[in-house]
Amino acid sequence: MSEASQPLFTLPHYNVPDNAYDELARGFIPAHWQRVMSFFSGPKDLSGAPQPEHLRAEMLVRDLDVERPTRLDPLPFTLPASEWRALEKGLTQRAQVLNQITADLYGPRTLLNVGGLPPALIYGNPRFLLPMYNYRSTASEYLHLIGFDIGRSPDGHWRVLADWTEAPEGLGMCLENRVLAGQSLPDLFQRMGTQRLQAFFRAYAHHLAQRAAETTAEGITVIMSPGPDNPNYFEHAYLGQYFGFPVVEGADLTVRGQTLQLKTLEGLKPVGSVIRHSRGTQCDQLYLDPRTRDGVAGLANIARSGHVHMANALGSGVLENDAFMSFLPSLCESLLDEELLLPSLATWWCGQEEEKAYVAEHKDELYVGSAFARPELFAASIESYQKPNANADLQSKEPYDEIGRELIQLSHSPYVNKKGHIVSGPTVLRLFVGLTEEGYRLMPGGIARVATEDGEISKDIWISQNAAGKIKAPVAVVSSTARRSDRDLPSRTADDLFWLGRYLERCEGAVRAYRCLFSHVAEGSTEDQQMLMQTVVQLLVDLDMLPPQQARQLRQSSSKPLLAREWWTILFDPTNQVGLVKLLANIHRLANQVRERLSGDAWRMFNALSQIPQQQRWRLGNVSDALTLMDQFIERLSGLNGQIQENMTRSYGWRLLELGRRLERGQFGLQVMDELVTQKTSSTYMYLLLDLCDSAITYRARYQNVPTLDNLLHLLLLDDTNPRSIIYQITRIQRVMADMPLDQSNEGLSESQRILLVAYHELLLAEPAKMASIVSRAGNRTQLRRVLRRMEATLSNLSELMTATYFAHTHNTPTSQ
Amino acid sequence: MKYRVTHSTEFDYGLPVISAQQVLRLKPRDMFGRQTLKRHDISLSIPGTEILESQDYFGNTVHEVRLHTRHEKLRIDSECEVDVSPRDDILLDLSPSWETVREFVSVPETTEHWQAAQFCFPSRHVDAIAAKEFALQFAEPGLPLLRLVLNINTYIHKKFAYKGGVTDVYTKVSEVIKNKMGVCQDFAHVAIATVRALGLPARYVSGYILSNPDGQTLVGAEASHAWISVFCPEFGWVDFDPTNDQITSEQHITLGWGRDYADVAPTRGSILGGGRQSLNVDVRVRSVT
Repeated sequence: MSEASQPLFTLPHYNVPDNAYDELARGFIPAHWQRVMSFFSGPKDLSGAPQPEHLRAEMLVRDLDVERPTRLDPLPFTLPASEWRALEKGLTQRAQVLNQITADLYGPRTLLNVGGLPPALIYGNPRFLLPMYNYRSTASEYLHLIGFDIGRSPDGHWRVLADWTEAPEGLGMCLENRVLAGQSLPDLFQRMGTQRLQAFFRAYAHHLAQRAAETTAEGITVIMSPGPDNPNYFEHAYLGQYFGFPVVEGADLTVRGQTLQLKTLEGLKPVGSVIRHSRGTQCDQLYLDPRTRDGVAGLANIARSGHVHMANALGSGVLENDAFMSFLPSLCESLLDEELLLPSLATWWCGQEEEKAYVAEHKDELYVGSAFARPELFAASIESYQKPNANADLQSKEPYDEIGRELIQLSHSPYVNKKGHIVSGPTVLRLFVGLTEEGYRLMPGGIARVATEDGEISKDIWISQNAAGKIKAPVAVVSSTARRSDRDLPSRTADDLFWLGRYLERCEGAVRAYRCLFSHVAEGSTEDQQMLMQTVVQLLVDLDMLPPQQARQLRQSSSKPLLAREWWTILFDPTNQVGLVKLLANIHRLANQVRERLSGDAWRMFNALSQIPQQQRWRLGNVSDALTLMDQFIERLSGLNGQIQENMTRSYGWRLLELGRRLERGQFGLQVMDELVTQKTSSTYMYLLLDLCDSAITYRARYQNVPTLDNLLHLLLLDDTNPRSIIYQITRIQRVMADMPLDQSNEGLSESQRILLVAYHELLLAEPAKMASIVSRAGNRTQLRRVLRRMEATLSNLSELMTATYFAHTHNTPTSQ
Repeated sequence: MKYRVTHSTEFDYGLPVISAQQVLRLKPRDMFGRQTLKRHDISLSIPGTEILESQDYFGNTVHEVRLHTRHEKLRIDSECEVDVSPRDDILLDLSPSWETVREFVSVPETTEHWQAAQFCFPSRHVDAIAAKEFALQFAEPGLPLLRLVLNINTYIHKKFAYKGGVTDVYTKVSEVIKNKMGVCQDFAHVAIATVRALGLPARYVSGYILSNPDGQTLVGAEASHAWISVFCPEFGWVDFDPTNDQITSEQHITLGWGRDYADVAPTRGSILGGGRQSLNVDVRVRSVT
């Protein structure tokens, strides 16, 4: 620094501790930072208000409505070309070493038997998966994506703090950060000549898609995620959209013969590559952890024999062990015959006597922790690299599961704090190396994590185009997988939609039944009405909508005061094992799982539905409040149905909702009519039936008299203009099924078409007068019973056929290759 | 001694299962000089089922069964004839001290020691760390390895009560040590955890035991049995049965081995569908001439 140099800007709030490296070179802003800093601090007043760019970025983040681990700072992080090239060299070399170690550990294991790695380092680690022995992965590619945490020590040199080899998270966040930062600072982004991420992502995805096609004919690539409950799910969904790869869970996949298959509405589709976001042990309940719920039975075995390409390999988590740091220099020399370019933090593995003694002695100057169970990706706090943790409780661990690690004074970089001031904080970079056709490449960007007084924030890393070597971007990722057709609808999603349709309808039926219950109580207590009430109670029990305990009480005691007192509990007590509260929870869960297939309006209506009970203060002890509430439910449900009918495209998603609804409505109708087989049919009872089936008005309009049984049967069973009748449901199902994939058989009728036709004709030929009048000696209406039973069987067969054909894929599919 | 064993497993799923995958480890091992497998047949109650045969990491035979047809019940029949030779070469006090063996496996030099070294660490069902305190009482300095294992064996046999239904597959070693009861599988896991807690290699053996030799009833005969095996440089792997306080000889028929139950469970499955499941296992071991 020459005498003449003057600090370019004054940053009154930017203070870097003397013993830390300053990315801004203590005010003598280095060339690569000058554009950024003059943009943020140049002409503007730094003393006061938050910068508009900052606010805009914040707003964009909120609009995306995603749960992000950290807040994004508008001020990007940047590095000079020369430094970036050195990092790329160092990190790609490291990726190669780690890949080769994985290949050896799951292959010949020479590093153990002759290479001098101690047994405890590998066999003591529960993340070493013994069943993955003799693991053959195409082209010896075990690690496709590796995350690295790096930090700069006071001498200006970069050090590797951690390697992430299991299923590195953060790519989605990089993309998102880039979108936000690029959108909020488009001019600066252009002027700095920032390299885009697209080429890297395409090259990475293209390579996997290519492996997929080589591994199995027409093999596609999928992203395997633990599902929406996982905190990183947003990232999996984001990447899925970006790459055009389906995001699937274990239950979406099945092993048939030697091939992994994706269950879709159209049938099974071969999968060649899997981008894995589930932990290795969680991927197979048959060969790995038996307690796993979201694995694929048999996956480990076909992965091991190279019939599906895993990114990363199952068992790659064995390298997420800080103890490896101390072995890496010698491993690099023996495997690559090169010197390790980028040093790690000095690490002592307590599985060795001398190292153990050293750590015990220097506890106060080290970070001491578990080797095998280190903190998850973003949980490793920046502070843990800088401060000793002398109080760490390691009582229960074996020495071979302990490490001591040197502490580092991390470099400081600028960020904008909540007051709008530019201040400094210790910084860790998360960079990614991905495998492409041309070998390992460093993603030209990444996440800079900065510790601030308000917790951790993230910054987008901008690298200029001349810094990183050009990555050859393939023209298109892959044609067949980039297309997201509705037919690729994963079977589990299809199943969810089907059940969502059923539950919505079930909810409506139940609410009508509750409404009858409450209104009959409100109206009075003649003997007839008492009898009706018992019928409704029984119906609710049969529908699983009334806990048996409460049903017993309702049957025994005088029900009016009881209902008035207890209606809230009956409906909404969260401890109820059955009933409306459970049903609403299920609807909410399913809607959440298929959220991306619903319109925003539909989603809001689903939300509103499950929020009804919380919306108002209801007066307990007053049944009329319960009635009002039930009316509200019916309104909301009708609104939702209207929304689905009117605004949803007739995709497979809609068809499945419709099939679920029709099946359920048919079954509800049959269940309600079942009482007619034995019941003496008073007109009050028939009114109740019409009420439950929402057909009272139609009846009055059509017959204009007191209900008779044969008119009633005609209306509820055989009238194809009544949208509540059984025949109406059958014809609707017929029509929708005709448009479903796999149901257009080449040779005559499919099984579902056949049973639907039989049922339809049976109804056509049924005679209401006979059904009403033919009574057996025991007092049963035998004709009616026969028709009802046949219809019940039809609907339940249909439901099972759908499960086998579309959801489980066990129908008419070959069981062997 | 020659044996004929029939082992039937019946699953009743309560409700229809739409697809099922099972991994079976029901074929006895051929062990040079110890056990010869004469014949083995496996059959399923659902005809036409795909059965894939392979070997696992430990060399056990694995049958993977895949059923993609609806079923509510499944019966698996395994039948074999095995010839077991007596083992009379074990001289407990000629075995090296346990500290020497620990040294061998912590810095292994031969392939054999490397093989053994894999069995020194905690595994899914064997929390060796939880057995550390329990193990201390057996760590008498200079004691020959096999004598030490026999002491553990005898202790478990004497102080632990054999009692079915109080534990299950996931009962922890620490609980069995605390409650001092369980079945052969629990005793094997405790014994293995104790041996491993001292830094020594031990594996889990799954197999059968003859029900009634010389009028004396051995525990564990009606179902599949489990015991342990310990590596000793002079004698190779030596099997101990903590349930019956024995060094195994002619009465134990070996199906397979691994780090613990999870590696060699006779049946392990994954089903789609089904309701409340019940399992009925019937094992008959007869000696034949």
